[in-house]
Amino acid sequence: MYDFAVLFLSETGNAGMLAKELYSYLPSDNKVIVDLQQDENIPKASFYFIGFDIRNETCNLKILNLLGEIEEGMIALFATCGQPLTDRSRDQLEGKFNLWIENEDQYAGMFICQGRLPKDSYSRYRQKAQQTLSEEQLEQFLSQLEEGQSHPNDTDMAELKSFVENVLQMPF
Amino acid sequence: MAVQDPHKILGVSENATQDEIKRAYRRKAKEYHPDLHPNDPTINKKMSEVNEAYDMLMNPEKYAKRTQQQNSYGQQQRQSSGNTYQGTGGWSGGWTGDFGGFDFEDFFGSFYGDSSPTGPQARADDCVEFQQVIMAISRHQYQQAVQILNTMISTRRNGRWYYLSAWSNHGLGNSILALEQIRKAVQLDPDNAEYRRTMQQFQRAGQTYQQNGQDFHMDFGGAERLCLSLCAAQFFCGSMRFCIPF
Repeated sequence: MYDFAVLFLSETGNAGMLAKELYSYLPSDNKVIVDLQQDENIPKASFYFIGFDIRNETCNLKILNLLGEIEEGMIALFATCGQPLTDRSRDQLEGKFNLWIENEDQYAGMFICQGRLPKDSYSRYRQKAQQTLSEEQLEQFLSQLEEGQSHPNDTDMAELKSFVENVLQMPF
Repeated sequence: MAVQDPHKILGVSENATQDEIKRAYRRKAKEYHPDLHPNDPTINKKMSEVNEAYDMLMNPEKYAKRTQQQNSYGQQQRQSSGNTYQGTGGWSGGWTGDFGGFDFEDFFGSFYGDSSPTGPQARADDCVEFQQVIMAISRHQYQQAVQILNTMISTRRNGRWYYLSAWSNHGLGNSILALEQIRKAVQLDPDNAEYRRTMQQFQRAGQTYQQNGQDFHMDFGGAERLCLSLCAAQFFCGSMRFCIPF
């Protein structure tokens, strides 16, 4: 059994970047990282970090199924999201993913950061924002949307590291 | 798009518990998952409806406020244009729906008069316990946050401690105690803008509860009486100080 297993499924590449970085932070040599697009075998571990890309407030169905199947070990989630995030939207997204873990005691927390948007989504957001927002709001929104195209960035990685450290210090 | 009957969309009764709502959401979210319907152009809309229905049932206060704003907007529309208000269409034509679940109201919450407190953020100089408390609060594990705070000896209970304790009790629904503690945090650290802002938010939230008549029929005289009761309860309960259910 591994101390840590980092499992990820990344269609945009964003969550994959986080997964590799996260793996390097884990304080053990007895750890494994699995790209679920390449390998569907789930190793046994004491602590799972499960990563994915969020799209339309959900993620790949394989991830949702996996969350309900891990019966032992702690589970922390990490994800990237193509839309600008607020504290409330982070909370709501977290609430939509941690509910797939059957046993609440297994849940250790979730890290979410903005990820680079696919081109078609970027255009769609931009178009909708232009139809809906005032000039001042539009400027603020587009600025954050633009900024998001460089994510995950160094700040996200630093926050991810802090998240991992905090999660591993929690009294479970 | 605006969901009219979230219970119907999730297929639960109006008396459904949170667990039943979660189970129903999982069932529907799998049924309408885009991976299972790659060629169905309507599936994103269905999925968004399920998401919104779930949000409405799990965060009713957000939608109650939205309805109030919507009604207010409708009145303004009637006054300014003289036209008949056309229900939800006058509001935005779809806050979420076909927009990948993104909610402009969340993004511009403060612009739209949202005064809901959002929660404490970690600081570089936070001790390990405070970091753990902030993590617990962000996961809505308020009881755990209180337990961690209670392990800290009294000499370590500074303004930051009272600030985090206020948030923990706010999460547990102990509104009066939360207000008392955030006031103590401001008293100990009067120059801290974050504490002052949070105190104002908690005070505004209290006023909203009073205005709405939602289980908060207490004036400050009542609050003082409750504090006296609390002190008595704390005297008898010792370490249960922050866990007293109201």
